[in-house]
Amino acid sequence: MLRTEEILSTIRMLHAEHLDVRAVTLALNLNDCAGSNPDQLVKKVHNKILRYAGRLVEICDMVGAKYGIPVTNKRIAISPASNLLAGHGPACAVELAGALDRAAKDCRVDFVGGFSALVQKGISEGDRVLLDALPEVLSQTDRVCASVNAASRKAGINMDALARLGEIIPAVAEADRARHGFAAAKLVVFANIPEDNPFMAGAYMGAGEPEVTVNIGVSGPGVVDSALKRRIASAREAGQKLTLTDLAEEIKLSSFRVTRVGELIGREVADILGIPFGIVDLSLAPTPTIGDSIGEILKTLGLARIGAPGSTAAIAMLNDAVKKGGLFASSSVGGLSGAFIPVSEDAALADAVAQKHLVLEKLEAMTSVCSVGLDMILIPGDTPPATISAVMADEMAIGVINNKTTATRLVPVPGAKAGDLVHFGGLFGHSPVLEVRNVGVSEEFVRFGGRIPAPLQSLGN
Amino acid sequence: MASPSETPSFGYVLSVIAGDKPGIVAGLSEGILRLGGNIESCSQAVLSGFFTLMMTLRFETDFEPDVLAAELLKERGVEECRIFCSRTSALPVRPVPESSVFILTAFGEDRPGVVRVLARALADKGVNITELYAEKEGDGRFVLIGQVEVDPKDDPRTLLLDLEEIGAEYGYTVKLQHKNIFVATNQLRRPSL
Repeated sequence: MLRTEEILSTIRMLHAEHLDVRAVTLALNLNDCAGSNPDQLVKKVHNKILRYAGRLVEICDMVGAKYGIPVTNKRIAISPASNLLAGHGPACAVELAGALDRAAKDCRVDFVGGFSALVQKGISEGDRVLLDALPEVLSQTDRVCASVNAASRKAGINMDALARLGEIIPAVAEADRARHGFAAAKLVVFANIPEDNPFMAGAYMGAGEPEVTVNIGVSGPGVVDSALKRRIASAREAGQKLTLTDLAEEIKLSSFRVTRVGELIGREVADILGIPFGIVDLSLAPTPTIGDSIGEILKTLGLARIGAPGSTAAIAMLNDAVKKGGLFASSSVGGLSGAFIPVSEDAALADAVAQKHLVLEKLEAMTSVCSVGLDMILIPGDTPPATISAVMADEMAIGVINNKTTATRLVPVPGAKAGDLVHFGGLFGHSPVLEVRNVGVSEEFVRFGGRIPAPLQSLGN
Repeated sequence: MASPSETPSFGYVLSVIAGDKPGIVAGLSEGILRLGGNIESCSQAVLSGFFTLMMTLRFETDFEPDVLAAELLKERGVEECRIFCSRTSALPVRPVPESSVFILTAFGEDRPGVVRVLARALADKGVNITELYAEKEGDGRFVLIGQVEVDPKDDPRTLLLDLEEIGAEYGYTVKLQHKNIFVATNQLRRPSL
């Protein structure tokens, strides 16, 4: 029997604290669409996506209404597009991306991810075609997202790939100069890319996954923040002393409930579609909306300035408690599952950057204990390619050595210098361009190329 | 000795109201036991300081409902209660249709007529209310929570839109959500679909 307080607390969580299901992502294997005829290839891709995902939006809306929870984004993730491009040229890559874009629009999903290549140990012919086409693909399509896995625990860090990406990323941004390089926000470079991530821009369907599945990304920074604020206020009122242990427990409880919401929606959508349910990714993904911010949580945890000493410890606690609560709620947890700190997408983080409280190096430190990396970082458009490669290499090293996923989503804003404010709008938000210090002095390191070997698996101090 | 299935038994629905005080349930249950009865289901709440209780009972003795109520009023702690009693056989029971259980919630400033319009809207659409809770909070806000049965063939979105519109006329926020969302977020075991 449900108790009144239970009903009221759920209502509060759903309607006053910005809880939503951030992404229902249908992951689909397209490898059987491969072929030597580009026209047939793109036709098969379009048809297969529509066959499986044609009703996704309608069903998500129906299930969301049944439970009174908005499913904010409906998306598609495909097996790596580079698998389809071996033996083809750049024109085919652009055609394929166009077909993906059309399929996404026909299905009314906002993004399709998986224009991806896994190059952690080397670049295959199909990978090269995909990488070379990225500036044209990302600037000319609206809904196609790309990702590249350039490092892994088992392979080490592919510095040749990072050197190439250091050139590609500014080229992508330059190709979309009119929108301040926005196209680069649709490209993520990973270490240890998860096979079942439902969040864009890094969603793709990895090896070992079924033919088709539904993965769910829940969010809920607002829920966690409100729960913490309530706990702190009630303790003050009662003259009670609160410790960080108590607050970690509160985060766990909120995470449990948020995860349960996602799993319920995901299972039902999968059930109606007649396909297997995959995972629930219990990441805390902020949006530019006030009250839906990781930065606000750090402030609630007692840090008057985001980026001040203590920020890394606070986000480590948040990240860990989120996982613990979520793992108890569901046996199907996967994806990235952690607290995201995408600067332009989190109003409080963007503000901390504007105030110069939060700098690139501190963000990098914070990413060593949370998900997912240097995310939505705007940098000056004239940042040298080798410096961009080196920034990515640092982030990859954190992932490879610590056996976790890390990533970069860097946007070198054409013509912009540090401090300039750039608005992307919508979920992508706004942010000042961050200063990159010590530019132009990493060339020799990057030029060595090769692969930073896979790390030791023991003696891990 | 006759087996339980061969023993004739007589069902009753009991409703008890009183000014709240300790000992009412104790007195009632002692009386029921003394008369050889068994409590089959029970729901009790204190509303604005008033004790309210409903029970379904079964006895091997065929009591007249008024006699049963009078017997129970003799118990210590029950003397000041008002008891209404009916045979279950006197109340027609409809067959339980297949249904999806939804939770209706409505919040707004307290004013007469809100329960009526929402309940009427549900009734006109054949939606049954199985549980209802409402309370005026300290800040003057009125909270209504109902468990309702919706025909699985009906689209709850249409029903919600109607209820939202009716609620808005009274300045109320109305929600209608499937019960499983509340089970999922509050109970350890996840709900089955």
